[in-house]
Amino acid sequence: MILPPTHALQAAGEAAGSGWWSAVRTLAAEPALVEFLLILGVLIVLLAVNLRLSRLVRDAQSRVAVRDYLLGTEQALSGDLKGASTRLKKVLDQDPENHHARLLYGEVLAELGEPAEAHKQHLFLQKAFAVDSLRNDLNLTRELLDAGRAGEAVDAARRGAERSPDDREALRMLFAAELAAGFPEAAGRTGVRLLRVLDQDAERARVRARAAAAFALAGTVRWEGGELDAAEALCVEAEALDGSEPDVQRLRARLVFAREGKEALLGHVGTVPQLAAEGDDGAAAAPLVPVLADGTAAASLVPAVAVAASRVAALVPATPYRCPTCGGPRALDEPHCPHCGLSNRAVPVEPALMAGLESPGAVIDEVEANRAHVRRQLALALEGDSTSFDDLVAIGGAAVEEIFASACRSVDPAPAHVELLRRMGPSALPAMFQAYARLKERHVRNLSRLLHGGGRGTGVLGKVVQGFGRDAQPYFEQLLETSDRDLRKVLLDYYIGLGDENELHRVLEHFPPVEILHRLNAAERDPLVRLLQTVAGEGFFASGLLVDPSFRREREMLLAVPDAADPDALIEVLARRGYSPHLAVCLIDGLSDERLAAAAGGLLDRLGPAAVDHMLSAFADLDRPASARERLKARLAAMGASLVEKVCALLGPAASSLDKDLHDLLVLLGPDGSPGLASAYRRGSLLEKIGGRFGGAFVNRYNHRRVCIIKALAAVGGHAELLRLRAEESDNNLKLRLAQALHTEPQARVADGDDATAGEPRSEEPRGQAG
Amino acid sequence: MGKLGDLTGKALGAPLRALIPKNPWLRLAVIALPVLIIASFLEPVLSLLGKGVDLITGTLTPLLDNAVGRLVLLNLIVVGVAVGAWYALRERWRKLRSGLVLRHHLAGVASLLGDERARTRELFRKVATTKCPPPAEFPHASEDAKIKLARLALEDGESDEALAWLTLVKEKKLPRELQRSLVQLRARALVQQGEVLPESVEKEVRTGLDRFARDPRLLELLRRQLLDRGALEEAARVQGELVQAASPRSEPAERQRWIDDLVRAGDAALAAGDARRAMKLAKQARDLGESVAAGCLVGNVRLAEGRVRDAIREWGSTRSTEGLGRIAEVLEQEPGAVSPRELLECCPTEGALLLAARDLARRGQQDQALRAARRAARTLGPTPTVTAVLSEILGLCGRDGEAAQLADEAVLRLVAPERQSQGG
Repeated sequence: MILPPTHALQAAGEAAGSGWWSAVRTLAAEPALVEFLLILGVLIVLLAVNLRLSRLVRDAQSRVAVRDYLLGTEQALSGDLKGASTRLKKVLDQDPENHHARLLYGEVLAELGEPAEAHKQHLFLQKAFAVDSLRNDLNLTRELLDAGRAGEAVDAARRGAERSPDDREALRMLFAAELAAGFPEAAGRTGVRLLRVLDQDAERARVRARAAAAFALAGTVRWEGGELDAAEALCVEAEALDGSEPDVQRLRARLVFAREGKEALLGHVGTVPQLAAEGDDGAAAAPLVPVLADGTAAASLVPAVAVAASRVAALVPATPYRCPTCGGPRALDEPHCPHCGLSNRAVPVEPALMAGLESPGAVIDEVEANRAHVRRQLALALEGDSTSFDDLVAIGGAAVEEIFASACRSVDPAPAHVELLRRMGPSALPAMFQAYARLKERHVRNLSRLLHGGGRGTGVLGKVVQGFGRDAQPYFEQLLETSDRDLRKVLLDYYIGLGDENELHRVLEHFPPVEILHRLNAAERDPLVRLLQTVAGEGFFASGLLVDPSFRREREMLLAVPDAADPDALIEVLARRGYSPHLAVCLIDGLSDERLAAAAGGLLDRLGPAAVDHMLSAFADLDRPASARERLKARLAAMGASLVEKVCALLGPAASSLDKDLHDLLVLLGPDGSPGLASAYRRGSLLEKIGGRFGGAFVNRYNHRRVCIIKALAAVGGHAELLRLRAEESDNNLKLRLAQALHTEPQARVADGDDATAGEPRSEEPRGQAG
Repeated sequence: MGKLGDLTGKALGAPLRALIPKNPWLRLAVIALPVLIIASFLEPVLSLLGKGVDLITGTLTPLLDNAVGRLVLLNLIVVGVAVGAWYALRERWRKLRSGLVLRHHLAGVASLLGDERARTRELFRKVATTKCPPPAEFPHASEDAKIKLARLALEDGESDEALAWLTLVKEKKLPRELQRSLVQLRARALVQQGEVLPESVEKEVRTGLDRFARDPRLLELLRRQLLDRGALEEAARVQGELVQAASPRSEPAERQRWIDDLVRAGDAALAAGDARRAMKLAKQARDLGESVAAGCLVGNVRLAEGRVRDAIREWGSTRSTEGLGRIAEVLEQEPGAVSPRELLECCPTEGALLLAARDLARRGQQDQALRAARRAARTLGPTPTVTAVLSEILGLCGRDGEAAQLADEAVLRLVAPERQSQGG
């Protein structure tokens, strides 16, 4: 640092000769004063430089912020969104309280596809900065709608509309939000308000239609809730806006139907002005030509339809597509709904029309009712599908051959095959005969199943024709002369199924009896029973065919008795047929049936001793119903003492459940059976006979059978026989039993039968001689 | 080299210039201060200063001794103070006036964002017509105001006024952002005005695009011009560029418009007999996304080539009412053009089944027609189209009574509650 020299100062002071200079010199002479002043000066300069720099930076920032804000605004307005976003963000970083910049920044972000971030900025304005702005509310509404939160969007839009009740944009947004949120009545009222401020005709027409539809929708909700008056009021409001709107017409039609009924509804729909015009024009009116949102007519699926159909057209939207949210009409390719403003894809009004067919081939098979379709339907019908069943019935003759083929293929043709063909009715008979002939020509395997079920029974065709009534008779009369043995069988089956003996006589004129007998033997039970019920005593059927030994359907004859026109004639036929094991078994089985018991019992009596073995065998069958066994017991008891030995033969070597029944039967046979009992006692059992042949000493005489006989003797009072037997008896145990029986009162002996098994030997096992 | 030297000097002096105050007197003082301090240490200088002081005191002292002298001195002091004040306040006044302009401009922007159009116009008009110096913070406030006034005028449909404002904008040294707006608005105003020849407008737009390539607004204007001129393919190409430049929010709509343009161009090509070109455009449209119109155009091309089945397949693949409508038209004009089996194989939809039913009925195959109609009705329910087609089929089959009954039933079902009618 350069310091002023002292002599210079002195010289200057002398030269000046003034006081101030002396003072300066005096001060400068002070130690360190000059240095102090210099340091102070440097500090002042540094401070000034710092202050100046700070001010410069602040000024520069302020200028840049203003410039960024204004240019960013212009960029946003000119569509340079990225530039605007960058500038406005910079502005907000410097001045977070610039509300306008934030508002615009949010709008730019929304355009840039960041609705969530945009919503955040606009929400900040509303909540953090308490900015009360219509534009901000509308932005919030738009962003909430974009985010799919229509309910909240309605709140935001309502705030805006309350602030500016006549603002067009506010009302537009509110209308859109209410439509999107599903508030139809509110949307209708907003639509009315919006109409007051709109000036463009096209938009007015669109808003008018949507408001009317919204009122109609609200009215429909009321109508569904049963509030007809409220619905009527809304309908009137809707009609005042746009009565031609299909939703409005539909609501009106519903109200007419609800209040005045079906006839009034159909009359009303026929008099709707729009429809009347279409109707007058006839087919050329093309009422179902879809109209797009821009008013242009789309290609028509139905270029010309009947007048009647146009009545329906008035009640549904004329456009082919609608908004899935608000239901408004729109074009398919429009990315945004013109009514609610939502970004979604339009959906067709009749989406089912565009629905794909799972299997077009199967559908056309169904239309053509060809073999493939019949096969599919048949498979379903056999699984129990009623629709397929009905469809096959509707197809009729065209399906017969496949059904026949299916019946041939199946081991046991399902009842569904038969039922299907029966439901087709006699008109399908020619088709059945043709199908049968074709299958025969093709040598289809198991064709016999069609005719006699694979065996000799009634086949599918026979069962089918047995379900037809007299309507089918003309078809069969043509076959009376046929020589085809299979068709003859079918014919016989049909006449059997008719269940009329007189009609059967016509067959007898053309067929040998033995052929008829064969078919009768192969016939199904029910039709045969029906036929047998018509038997009269004098006819050839009763006196010729039914008594023939080769006719084996005694059971069906017996079954036919209760409901037969002439039961006695049928019983007489059975009696005339005489004993046969089969008949005996049938009659015994008949005893189990209350309705048949009397007839069966009477016939058994008439069959005589030949049937006794069957009766005893049936009586010993514990699986048979108790009532039947009681009836058998009564029949057997009536036959007397001759049965005793046969009854004793049923007694087993060891105790069984049957013992008591046999004991009772023996008791019922009475004292006359005592010799028989003694004889049975002496004869020994089958085991003793066999054992005796191979060294009978090893077979014990004391067995259950003899004990039962001793008890039966005691019960019927056979003292003399008991005494004789005791004298003859060599076995001590049996002697003891015989002695015990002799000392027992007859009444007590009968009671003893209940515990006959007490203390008796368990079996006839060889165990050496007693004692 | 001289230029480089100037630049270097400017760069090196820039910090110093930034630090030195803008006021010239202060600047002089700041520059002179170190010189004076150094000079104060030199005796000749000090004596010179002392002599200067002596001269002043020697001059003033006689003036203070008489009244005239004092009066002269007072006048000199007053004039000096006035001159000093003028120098000091001149800059501040200028700043005050330019600040007022900026304030008006900012208020105008705020009004613009607050949708207060009348106030916005008033404020911007003040800014645009002011004689005040431009604010240092935003020297282009006046131009910006004119641009915004032009924008407002255009929005109000006053294209002449807009053009007037735009003409007043000085383009020299205008920021690029404002230049873009200017170009956009000028082109838009010319289009909107409608009296300028289309060629001029198109040239204006193309010039703008040369400066601001891929500007969405300019591209949109160019597309409209091209459409008006009938250059459909070029319009589609421009729309393709517009899709690239569009904001994410408007991109779906622009893309759809691109598809529409391509289809429109394809239709025109097909009408002109250039099926190959039409097919190329249709395929291009279809590649852009699901489009019914594009699918229908492909079908139309196939039909023009005589490939009816392929045409039906294309129409059917759109799964749309329009596609079904085209098929219906073909069958209407030529019943039996394809068999029902072929029709369903090409277009396996329920709607096609209805068409097949009607076609069968027209060809006299009534059983099959009724079966197809019943099958469709079972699946579709009593929709208007179904009802209409069924009525027609029944009529063709000679069952007018059933047709009327069907219509009545359909009416009853349509007025039934929604759940019931859907379920029924």
